[in-house]
Amino acid sequence: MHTVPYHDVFGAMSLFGWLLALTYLGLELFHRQRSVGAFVLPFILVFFVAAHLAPADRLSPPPAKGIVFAFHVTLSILAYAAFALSFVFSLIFLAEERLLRSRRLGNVVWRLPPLELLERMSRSSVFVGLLSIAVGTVLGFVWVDRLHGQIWYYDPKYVVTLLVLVLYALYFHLARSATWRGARASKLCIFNFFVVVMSFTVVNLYLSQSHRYF
Amino acid sequence: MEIVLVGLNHRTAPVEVRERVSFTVEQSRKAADELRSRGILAETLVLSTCNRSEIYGVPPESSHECAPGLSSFLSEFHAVRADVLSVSLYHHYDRAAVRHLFRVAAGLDSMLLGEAEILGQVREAYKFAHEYGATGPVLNRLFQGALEVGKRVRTETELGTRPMSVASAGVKLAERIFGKMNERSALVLGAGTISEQVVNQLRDRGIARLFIMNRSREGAEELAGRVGGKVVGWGEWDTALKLPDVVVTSVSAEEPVLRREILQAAMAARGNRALFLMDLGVPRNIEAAAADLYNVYVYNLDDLTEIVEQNRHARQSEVPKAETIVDEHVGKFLSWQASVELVGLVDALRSRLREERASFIRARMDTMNHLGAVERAQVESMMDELLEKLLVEPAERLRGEKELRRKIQNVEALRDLFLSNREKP
Repeated sequence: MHTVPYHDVFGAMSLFGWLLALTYLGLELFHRQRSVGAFVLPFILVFFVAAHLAPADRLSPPPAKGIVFAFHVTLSILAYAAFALSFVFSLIFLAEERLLRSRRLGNVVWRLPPLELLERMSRSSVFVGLLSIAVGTVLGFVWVDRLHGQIWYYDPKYVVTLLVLVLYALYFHLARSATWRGARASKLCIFNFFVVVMSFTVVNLYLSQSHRYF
Repeated sequence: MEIVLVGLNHRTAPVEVRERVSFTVEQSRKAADELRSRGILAETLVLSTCNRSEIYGVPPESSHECAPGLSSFLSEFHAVRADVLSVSLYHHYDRAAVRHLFRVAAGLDSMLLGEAEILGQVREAYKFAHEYGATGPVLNRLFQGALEVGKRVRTETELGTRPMSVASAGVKLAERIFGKMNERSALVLGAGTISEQVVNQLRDRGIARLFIMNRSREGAEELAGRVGGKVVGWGEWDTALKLPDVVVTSVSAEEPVLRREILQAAMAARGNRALFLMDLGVPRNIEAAAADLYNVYVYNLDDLTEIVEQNRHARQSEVPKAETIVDEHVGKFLSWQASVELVGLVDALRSRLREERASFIRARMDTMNHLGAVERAQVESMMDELLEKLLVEPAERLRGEKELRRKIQNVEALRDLFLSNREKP
């Protein structure tokens, strides 16, 4: 708890990779399905490699410690990991759906996981993400309150996080609805993840003061 | 010669002969008993499926004469004329027999290349023979090897992964969408033979509920009674299409039965839950324009036939990989067998040399008269020591050096060389 990696990209990305793997493991156990692992693994590896290639500049540590802050960081990154997983599931879903509908089946299709399983796993992964980002954000506010004695000061990260929350809540709801279930919901899920990536890059690096690396 | 195989399969015998020579469980038990009591085989395993009847055995003593004995036993046991049977039977010994069994277990000898059922049948046959005590060390090892080959071929190659019939291709495709079939339901349109084939596939994959719809209600009821399903009235699309996940159509009709509007309405009623349709009718039963409805997957007979064709090629191209696995395990088994035989040979040599020593001393007793009992015992133990020394080193090397065992392929020859003038142990 004393070494939450919040002050460099490397740490945040490694933690991200670990949580990604952990979340996947949880989902695998929950859905009792192992056929997806082979497709998720490459993505986990990519995140680890990206972590190692990331610039090693460090932020001068702000007055940040304590269990609340640690949970804020860990839960937020867990949320992003869960969203990343649902992104991967949705991507596989779309590719497989396209293959099946075109009726031109290559060799891969027989090894891919069933579409409905991918849908379910994506949805439960988003559920984990929503839960942890909600709790994580609340903890963030609590921590800021303790630190500055004021609960609110403006940070563009708030807006983006709220947007992410709303978008994923929308997906979670629509994925079961008549009009959206299937490919449409998956496309929404993929779009949502791009917003998350934006939040990770543009907002963190250029706009936000206190959320440099996650 | 250690292992013998006599049998026939779908390539060598027509179905009339195959069904007469097949064994029930009870019959294979009886055959094993008789073969043992007549001294034809010491270890017996009967492998009988609808495409093959084979007897694997280990004769009690080395002889090449047990195959004819087995053939005539077969013709007698099943009361089939010997001349009818002889054209269908094949005989294999040792390496060829081992290789044959391993190829069978791999699915390489099956009518449908790479089919999975045969491995289960080999396992059952072995389990039964083993529990009954019909097998011994050689066949146990042989069949464990065969099961290992079958398992490896199925996990390491794609010989058995792809569906090979239109019906199974359709069901496997449905599984790409829904996963396991055991919580799913299917609607079958038409009660003909093709419908029934698909129904059987669905049953095999554990479909939870079956609905059957047919123009003539009697036809539907007849099929439903046979396979266990619920009859739905013809044309009641609103109710019939609401629940099922898989729809199979095989109806002879000039015009498509399932029009786009019908499916569109059904999808709305289903809340767009995915619907998988297999159209096996010629001309087609499902309007082509229905294929672009959201979350609807339509495959017609041509699509499925093409998939099967692709899979046939894919399976064929996996054969060399499977053959490599078979060869590897044949080598493994033979070297195990050779090592067992070599150890036996060394033991035989030792007892032979002991006897030689004893008779040698008896013969030379006169020249040793001047020696006392103590000295005589000393000479004897020295001779023993020398013999042991001569034997122990090669024996140790045989146990330790795999490469050496592989080089000595013909243990029989060694046996002949050193123990020729004596009865074989």
